[in-house]
Amino acid sequence: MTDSHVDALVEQLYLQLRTLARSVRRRGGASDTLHTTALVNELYVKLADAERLRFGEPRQFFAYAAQAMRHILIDRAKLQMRIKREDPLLRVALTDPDVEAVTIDPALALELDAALDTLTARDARAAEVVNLHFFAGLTLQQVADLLDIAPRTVARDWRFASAFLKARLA
Amino acid sequence: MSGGEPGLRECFDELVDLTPSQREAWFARHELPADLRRELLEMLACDTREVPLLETSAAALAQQYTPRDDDGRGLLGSTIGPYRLVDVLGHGGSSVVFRAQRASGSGTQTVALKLLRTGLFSAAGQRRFRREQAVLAQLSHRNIAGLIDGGVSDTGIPYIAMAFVQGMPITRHADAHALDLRARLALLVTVCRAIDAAHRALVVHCDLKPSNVLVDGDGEVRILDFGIAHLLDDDTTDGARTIAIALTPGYAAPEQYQPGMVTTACDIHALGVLMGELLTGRLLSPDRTRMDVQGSDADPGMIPPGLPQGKALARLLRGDLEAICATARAGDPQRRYLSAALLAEDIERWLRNEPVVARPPSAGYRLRKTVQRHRAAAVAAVVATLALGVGISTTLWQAHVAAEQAQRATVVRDFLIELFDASRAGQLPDRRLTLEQLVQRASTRLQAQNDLSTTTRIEMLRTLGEVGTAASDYAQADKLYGQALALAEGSLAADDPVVTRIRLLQARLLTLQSRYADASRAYEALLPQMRRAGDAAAVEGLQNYASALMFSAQTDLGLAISAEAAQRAALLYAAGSRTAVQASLTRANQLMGGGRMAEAEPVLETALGFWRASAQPPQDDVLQGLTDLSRIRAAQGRLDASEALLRELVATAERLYPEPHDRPALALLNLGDLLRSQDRLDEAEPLLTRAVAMMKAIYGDDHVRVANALGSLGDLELRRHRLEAAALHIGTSMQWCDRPGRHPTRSCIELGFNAARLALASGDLETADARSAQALSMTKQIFRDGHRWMAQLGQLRAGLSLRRGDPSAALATCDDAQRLLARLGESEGLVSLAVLARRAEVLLALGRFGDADADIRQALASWDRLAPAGALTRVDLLGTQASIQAGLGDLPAARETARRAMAFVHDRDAFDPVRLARIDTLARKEHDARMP
Repeated sequence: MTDSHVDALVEQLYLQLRTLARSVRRRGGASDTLHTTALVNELYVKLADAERLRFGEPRQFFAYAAQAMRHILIDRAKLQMRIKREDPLLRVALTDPDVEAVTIDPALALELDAALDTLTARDARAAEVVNLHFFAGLTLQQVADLLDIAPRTVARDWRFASAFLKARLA
Repeated sequence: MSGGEPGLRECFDELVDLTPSQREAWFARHELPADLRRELLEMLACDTREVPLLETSAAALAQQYTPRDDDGRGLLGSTIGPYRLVDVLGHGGSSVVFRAQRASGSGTQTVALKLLRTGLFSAAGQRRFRREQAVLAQLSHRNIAGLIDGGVSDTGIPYIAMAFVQGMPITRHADAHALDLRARLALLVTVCRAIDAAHRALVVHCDLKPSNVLVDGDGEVRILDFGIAHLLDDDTTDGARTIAIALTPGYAAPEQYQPGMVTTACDIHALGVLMGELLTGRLLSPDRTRMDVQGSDADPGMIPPGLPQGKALARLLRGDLEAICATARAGDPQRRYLSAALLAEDIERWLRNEPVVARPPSAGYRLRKTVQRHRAAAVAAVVATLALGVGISTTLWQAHVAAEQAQRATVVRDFLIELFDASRAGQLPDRRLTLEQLVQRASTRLQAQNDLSTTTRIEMLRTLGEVGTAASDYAQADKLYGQALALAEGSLAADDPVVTRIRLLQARLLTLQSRYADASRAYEALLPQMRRAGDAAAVEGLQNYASALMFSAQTDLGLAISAEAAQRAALLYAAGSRTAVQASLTRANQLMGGGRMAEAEPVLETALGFWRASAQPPQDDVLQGLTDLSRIRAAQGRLDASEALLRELVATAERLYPEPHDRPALALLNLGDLLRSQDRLDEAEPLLTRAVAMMKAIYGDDHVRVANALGSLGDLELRRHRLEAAALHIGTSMQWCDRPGRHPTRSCIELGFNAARLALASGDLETADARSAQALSMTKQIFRDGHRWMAQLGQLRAGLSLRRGDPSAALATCDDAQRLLARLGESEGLVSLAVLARRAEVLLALGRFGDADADIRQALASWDRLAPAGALTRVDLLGTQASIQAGLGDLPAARETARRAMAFVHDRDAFDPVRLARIDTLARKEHDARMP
């Protein structure tokens, strides 16, 4: 990956994170939401440290971004479950058609989170591939470039990791 | 795979590219640990399966889970409560404000209606919302746009309807009318007075700013959104906010950015900022104390119309007005005006050319001021100034006290509200803090909060202690009370009401921990203070003292103190009032504890009657009253009435406490006990099991309540003749009573009785003797005037005498028991029945079959009436009767009776085999009868 590629990816990912973090903050949320906001803000500080990014470790940035995205996903999945569980009436009143558009059970995201912890203990690199591919949104090729390993190895990592995770999702 | 443990990854990589048959062969070749093999098979099965979750990306998924913003327009035209939504006035993060209308008389009323977006998820959140709303509803002031209505709509959305005000922000109004300095200050004084009125009603605004302080068409100041910030927690009409709590940069006081309390001082700060903006046309920067109108030469447009232009304004502001504004805006809340009224007064002093208090007055300054007012009599004025100085400080001092009190109340209230906020709506259930955690957290925070006055700290420590007590966190409560007392004793007289109050709470805590002797001593020391005060707290203290005495076997003194408490309560409370009902119920309970059932009965009937008629929500005392009356009914042999009361009790207790709690557990125990005493064991068992589980969850294993519940379960097993199970429960329960230093209690009498009965059933006569003697001695200690437990224990000891071959002694004991019951007026109940049955057995042994027959008939009739469904005891009684009939020589009758008895035997294991064999033999006599 060239530097400009990395910069574009960083920029895109950061915007995504910020939009996501903000959209719930504006709804006024619980402490975990604030925590997410803080995470993204911290990320911003790192991003603002442009020198370090340009010549330093994009790998670190993406690892961090993946972590932030994981937090956000879990946070939102819980929010979604809460909305579904505790407040079916609210949806009826404050029209929110998108709530109905949820197709993947948010409980699965929580299971994934737990399964990924197990995977990290068993095969750290496979877990890192999941972080970069699934959470940070890089393609497998980009992951290979970033980690400087053969694309075939990354593909095998992903295959192993996804079988491992799928076996643990209900 | 050479050597070592094969890894999951290693195996998977080898396997994944193989065909199914190759995989099978691979597994056959390799000997893998079972769980590894299972894991591999699962993973391979999943390898090609599509799981949508992993096909997408986390960002897309998070987006899908993120609810969309909703500006509320979709709701226009619909109705919330009685209001029809007409227009969107504004929307923010957690709320949308509508212009809404409702039909009112012949016309329509227009309101500003706030809808919460997020909903209040928990019942606690909704309760808080309603409570806050009730506080706001009481806030009625001509300059405050009042809360008109509020509630939760049919669809579960909390809403607030406020007066709809058409006007402009105070700053724009001042500019539009080109108000001069004095007119602007006069407006501000009005605002301050309104804020002060709200503060005195213990409501803090928290978000004062020009857009919330409007001036309507009639020139009236109208303050909007009072207390709403607190109520809604987030009102984001301004995108620049960074914290979940509504804050307006520039207006928010520095401490509002810190986690902690919001107090009236925040509003004072905002008033200072508002003053600056009104007088200079700009927001003052927080770090400046000067009212900066420098640079206005360059840009005259900056100075609001109506005010002197250029340097003239700067000159006017410099000095007093700057000092007033700076005092209001002080970074340290302690340095601000203590109340909005004091700020108003200072502005008014300036308007009257009097010295303001904002600036430390020097003699020369005062003189200059005074000379301005009384140019003619400068010398005399020096004297006047001194007098004025004294006057001001007196007023200030009084105001200080008032403000300090108001502020303390606010601080405590805000602190607690904030505390409970931490566990409120919005939190996921698994993240919600428990009450114990909250108290812990609050006390830690209190330690760190060193800007509070001692009085406030004492009050808060005490309050937290009470919360801890309510949450059964006794260790924590004890610590907090200790801290409060140490602080209070350090600064107050030993008999100061504040000190007394804490010590009363400590004594109560001892009672709750079952440390009755310690509690009695603590109350005794407080007796003079309680008698002197004669107030509600004193009445409660006396009642608790009486209970503690009675629980530590000082029944007579306890009843005397109880009577004193009742007298004082009668003087204090109106008949039929809730407090009077409570006091009566407490009195009745203490009479019950002292064995004075006949006196307790009318007190209970009256008090419960008042309660049922009042439709008041139940209280603990009502639960106790229902329990007590059910006991009286049981003792009177009116078991149906007793059962009905107990079922009412269980329902009421579960309504009052939906979570596991002592009270519903006790109610279950009582109902279970009644059913158990009627042999309705299958109905009783689940109730008692639940009671035991609940008690254990609340108290841990080592507590008298757990012991009681286990004792009941033990008795239940004993009735089924499951001696091992009974021994387990009863043995565990007796550990409570066998500890060294345990004083006599009613529980231990009952538990001792069960233990003795078990021993008798198991043939361990020594233990039966010791246990029953011990229980009897406890009964005599506690109930000097006699109690049915003596009769109960007596009949058991008669059984023991019988087993030891001394029926004469047994008969004497039975007769004593009967006389006692007759004297107590309890000849109808289950105890009386037990005595009769025992006496019949004794008479049978003595060969007095006729007398025995009379007794057993009476016992059977009584059982049929009391427990029509009770099979086990009936078998027993019929068995005795059959033996008596055999003794009388009436074999056909004996056979018939025995056969009736056997018809009730569904489970032979539920009976003493020896006894059962005897009945069985009598029932089988039919062969003999057929072949005479």
